[in-house]
Amino acid sequence: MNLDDALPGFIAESAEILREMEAGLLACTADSTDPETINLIFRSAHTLKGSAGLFGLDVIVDFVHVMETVLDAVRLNRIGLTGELVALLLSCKDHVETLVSHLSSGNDPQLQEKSQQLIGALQEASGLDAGGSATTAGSGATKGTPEEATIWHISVRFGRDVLTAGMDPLGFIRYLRTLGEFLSVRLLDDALPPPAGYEPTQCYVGFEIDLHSSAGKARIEAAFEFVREDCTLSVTAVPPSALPAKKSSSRKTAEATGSSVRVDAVKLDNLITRIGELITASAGASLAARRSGNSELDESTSVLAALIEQVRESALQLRMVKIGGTFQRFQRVVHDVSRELGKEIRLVVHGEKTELDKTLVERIADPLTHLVRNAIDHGIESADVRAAAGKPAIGSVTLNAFHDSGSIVIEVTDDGGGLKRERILEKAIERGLADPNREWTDSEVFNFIFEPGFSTAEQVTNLSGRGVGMDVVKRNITALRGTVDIRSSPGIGTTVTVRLPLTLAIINGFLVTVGKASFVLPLESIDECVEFSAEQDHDFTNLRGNVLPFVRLREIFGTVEPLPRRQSIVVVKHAGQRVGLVVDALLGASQTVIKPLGKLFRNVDCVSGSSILGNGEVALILDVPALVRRSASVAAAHTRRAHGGDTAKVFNLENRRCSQT
Amino acid sequence: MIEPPGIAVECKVQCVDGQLQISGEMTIYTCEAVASKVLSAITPDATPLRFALEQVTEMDTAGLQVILMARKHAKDLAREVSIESASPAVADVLGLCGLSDLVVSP
Repeated sequence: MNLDDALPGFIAESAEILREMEAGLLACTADSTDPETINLIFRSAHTLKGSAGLFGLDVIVDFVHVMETVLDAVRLNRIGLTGELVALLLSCKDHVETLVSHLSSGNDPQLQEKSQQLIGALQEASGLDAGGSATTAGSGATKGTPEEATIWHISVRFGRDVLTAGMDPLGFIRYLRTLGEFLSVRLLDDALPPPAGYEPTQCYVGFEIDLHSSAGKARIEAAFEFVREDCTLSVTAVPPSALPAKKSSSRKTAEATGSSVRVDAVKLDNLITRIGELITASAGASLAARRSGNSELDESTSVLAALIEQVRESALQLRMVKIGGTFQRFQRVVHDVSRELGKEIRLVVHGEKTELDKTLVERIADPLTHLVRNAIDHGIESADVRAAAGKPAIGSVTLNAFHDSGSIVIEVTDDGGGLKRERILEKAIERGLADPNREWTDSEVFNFIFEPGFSTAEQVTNLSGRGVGMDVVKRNITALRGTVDIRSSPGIGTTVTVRLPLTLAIINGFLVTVGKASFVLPLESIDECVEFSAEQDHDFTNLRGNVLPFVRLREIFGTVEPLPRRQSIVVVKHAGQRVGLVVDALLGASQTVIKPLGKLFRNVDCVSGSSILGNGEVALILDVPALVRRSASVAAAHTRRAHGGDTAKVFNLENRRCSQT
Repeated sequence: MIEPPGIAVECKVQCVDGQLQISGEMTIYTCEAVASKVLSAITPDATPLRFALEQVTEMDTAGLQVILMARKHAKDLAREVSIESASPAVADVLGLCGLSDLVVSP
């Protein structure tokens, strides 16, 4: 095997191991140290060292070795795992990450210096001479987590001349340990003679070992290859029931990473693109079949279309990843930032298993980091302020994720002081963003903090408060076709809600027409379709006793074709609000491959993308959030103009009532 | 971490009041000398024999055997043996062999 080819595998594996290590370390700070967690961290370091050794990456081996020694001491309770040590180990973990990413650049003196610095700090912190127990010699091929691991009983007696032949039985045992986990080790010294017959350079020892490992019998026997002639060895598989139940945690990791295949993201993207084309082609075929009037052909194309839809579902599932991994990263952010600010903060995570598109996960991480930092820095008050307000001294930041009508919602909540509504409004008026003579809803006021350069912080800290950031957060989220919203109550806390589409590639669309043009609405955002009716001269209708404001798409798109005999209202909902869209005709559901709009159309409102229909025509995808916003603002403006400012409130109340249904 | 050739490997053994203090390398290169000193220190006595191994820089199978031999011999003389301190190198070996229980802090 050419090791260079395997190197990317090592890089990917080490990233995984380091993540595991980080999670373990952070778990140690959260609650009291659990021995199993420390074992897990230790094992990660050990595995990493073994793999790096296989590739001859001495820089990494030497560095991780020191970490391992310190962790071993922690494991054996020789030193305590203090907050400082955790922080140090975390920065060591970061350094290993840097070392791995700089593999190609060879020995960078700066990195070496940093290595030495950290090694020194580790030795100082642990009070250990870490150089002593180099175990690198034995650690060869190591696999991360065992897959379908079995328990092997290994019984070995070494021959008398093993030591004088220049071999060290302990080395073989050490190597064996890299193949899996020792459930029990018993050293046999019954072969030791009475003192008179004792020759110190002769070997008298033997071992009985229970090894939990995914390695096969041949691989385990190969560990003793060099002493095969000079020892008695037996390796037997132990039926699992014969041994006491294994510790659950390592089994859990085995399950989690058990049967997965690493696939290049580019391949996956190609697949999705192909499937997108397939859907368009299939829609074309269905259309042609229907036109031909051949019922047999029609039937087979519809079977085909159904199958293609299933393929699309599974292909999109491939791209779906759990958000838990991203949330896990914030443990670190919270740990670091709260340390920096001297605030005690706990991160609570809900809905880690919520899945969303891989690309989204990658692109949402930065904005989320910013929101979390903001929550810690501005949201959570200092301990004495909290105590004065009768709140628990430890602040909490909550991350929550869930699915809601075709989008994923991520909430960042803090239990801090809440936003200062008056101050924000004051500042907005000062900067000419807000009209002082108008009533502003809470949500409108809070939205000002997303304006570029907007900051009410009296004190600019290292982290935030310079008014840079929230506008970037908003821009990033909008670029993902998402929305962001803030709720806040003084003294109780603030919740920032980010709402994103589940996927960026293909949606279940609903086709409507206005004039001659076709439009696509995301099916998930549609509540129902009703026949058009309107309160006289108003832009709202009576939907089963509730007020439903609507938007006439003909007006928005300036349609000039004559009105059809009857129109329909498509009721869409977004973020708890329901709005009607008046359209000429309903064509039904169809698979829609989203094509981005060209640069020219970037500023077009109410349209989020385009799609090519089966007949080759282009349909625009309507931007439901934008339409809902438009309806709200148009309606508010109308009522204000008609009845003066006061009735705006009344309308809002009505509005709220319909959104509650 | 591997001793450069040419430098003599050393191991010192001192026995004071039932405490055996060993420093340096307990390996195949030193085991004969260490073994004879250690074994000669084991005489019938009521006080337990305590190993102080925090100065041991390296230990291999031969070095470990010295400890095991001492334990066996002392047991024959009905004398107790314990390890009261262990360097990382020693702790590593003991951990590997499932012998960490031997280490008993005074």
